[in-house]
Amino acid sequence: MNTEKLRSFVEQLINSGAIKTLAPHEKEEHVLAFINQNEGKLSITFSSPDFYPDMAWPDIKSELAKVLGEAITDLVREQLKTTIDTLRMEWKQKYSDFMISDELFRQQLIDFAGKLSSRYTSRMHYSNILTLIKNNVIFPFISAVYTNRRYISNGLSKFDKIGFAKPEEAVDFLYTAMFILPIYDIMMPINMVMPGYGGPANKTVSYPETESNDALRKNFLAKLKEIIMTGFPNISPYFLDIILKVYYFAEEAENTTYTSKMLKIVYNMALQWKKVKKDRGAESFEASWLNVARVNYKFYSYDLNTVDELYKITIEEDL
Amino acid sequence: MKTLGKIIDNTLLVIILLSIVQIITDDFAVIGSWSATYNWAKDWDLWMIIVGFAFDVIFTLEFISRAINALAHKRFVTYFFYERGWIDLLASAPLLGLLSGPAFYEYAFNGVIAIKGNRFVGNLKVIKAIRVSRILRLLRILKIFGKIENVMSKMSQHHVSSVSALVVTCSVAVFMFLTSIGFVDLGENPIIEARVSLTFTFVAIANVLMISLLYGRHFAQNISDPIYVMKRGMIEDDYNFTVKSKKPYKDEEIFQLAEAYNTLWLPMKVRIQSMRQKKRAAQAPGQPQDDYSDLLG
Repeated sequence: MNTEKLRSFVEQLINSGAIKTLAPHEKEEHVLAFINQNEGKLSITFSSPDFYPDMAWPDIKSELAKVLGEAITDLVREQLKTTIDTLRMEWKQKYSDFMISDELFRQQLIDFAGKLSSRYTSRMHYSNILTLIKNNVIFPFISAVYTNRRYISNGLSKFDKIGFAKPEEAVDFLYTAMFILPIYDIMMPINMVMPGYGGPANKTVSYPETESNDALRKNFLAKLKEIIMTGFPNISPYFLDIILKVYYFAEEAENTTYTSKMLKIVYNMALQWKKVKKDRGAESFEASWLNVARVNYKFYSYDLNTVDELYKITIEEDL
Repeated sequence: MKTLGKIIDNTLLVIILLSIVQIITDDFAVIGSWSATYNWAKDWDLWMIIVGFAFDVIFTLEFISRAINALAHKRFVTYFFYERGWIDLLASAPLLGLLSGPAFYEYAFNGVIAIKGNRFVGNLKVIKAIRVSRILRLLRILKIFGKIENVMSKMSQHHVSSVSALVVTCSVAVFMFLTSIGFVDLGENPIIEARVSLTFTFVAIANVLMISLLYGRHFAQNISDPIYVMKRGMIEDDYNFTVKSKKPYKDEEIFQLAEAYNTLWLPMKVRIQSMRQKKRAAQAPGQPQDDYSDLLG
């Protein structure tokens, strides 16, 4: 099927004035909503002799969504490259087991994130992360953390084997690590022995589904490790450990590295972050998110002291 | 139809503002004896009679048409008591019947220009009391509330205008009462009368402004805004903002409610949303076996 016409239609939509300045994930959502809302008119147009008279509308629609996904993936990849190129990665020098140059690690990140972004959920996550980084949302928090010298600054600089002396270093680490995390939502086939059934069974699971099943989770984490190590063959084992511990659930969370705890909070905030004007009578997006997070800390396995201090910073610094 | 209604409302708003300007300049003209001092103002009193009469006719017609409309829709009581129909009435018909109407009549049929619209009736005591009813014109300041719609909060508009109405009406009523029983006697000096009237006008405007700006802000920040945030959070699926709490007011019911919303209701809503999302992900059709093969090779 020649998708040129679909592509040019999609390009026109994503570059239209109303959504031109939106983040890629918002563009994709808007265009998908537009297609769904105007299905009647679009089906008539695209089934006309000028377009695809031999195809049924559901097939055209699915092709349209695919072409849209590809166009947005290109946008995300472009932005990924630009943003990853700006990462300083000074923190990497502290990892004696990180046997790879900054340039090569950057390229690996671009390739890895580029591959993942062809998947809808990962693409959405990357777009969210890029928006957060573009707006430098985390820096004011970490800067205040290092000025106030309370729990989080100790956590980031002293709790773990390798700490961060400066806020810039910590922020750069968090931003870098986030580019490996959107693997989180993909569905993964896992070979496991089903209890009571003896033989091996193949089950496709997503990360949240593994919460109540130890065996599934271990299997899932092993697969994640395999995927990350394939994308980053010379990755520091300690760095990898920090990444994998982000996926720990409540009962394991206590024993995890502090950087993983912080990364989990920042990453989850990034996935929901929106640039919104403070509404009258309401707290800012960040303050609202952290206020809710500190009540729901057990549910999401967040570190209470961390979300609590971050929330207090939003009040003190009027963030 | 809605556009026409808006045009009429906006025109009336301009007329109300002009009528307040007229009230003020009318008094200034008396104090400064403009008609005697300035050549351009020699017909001032005549113009004031005509303009005052025109305003009173317009506002009376406005009240009558609104009353008829309300009666036709069987909502006269709502209009009169809850939508400030009583202000529309007090600020129009009595003035037309007691002041501007007779003054205009005197000029039109007898050629007499009655200064301040009531000189023609001389010094009868009852007429002095009627003259004091000019102060009812100040109620027009309150009519502005009905015309400017507060898009941010109808509740705030309603409560702030109620307080203003209470303060201004109470002041007007006390002044009229004290004058009618002779406690306040302005004598026959029009300049003193104008000074008192002007002072009263400025006090009324200052009261309304202060109530609208300061109390309105206070009301919005401490009552209507927290309610607005909670309402949106309860109605809209993707509105998950917490209410900004205020320590000094933490013992007040509204902030106690906001605290419960922030710490119980909203976190529970977010948890439910997460669980639904998880459920949707679990119910989504599984991906093909080689879904992640590109990441492994």
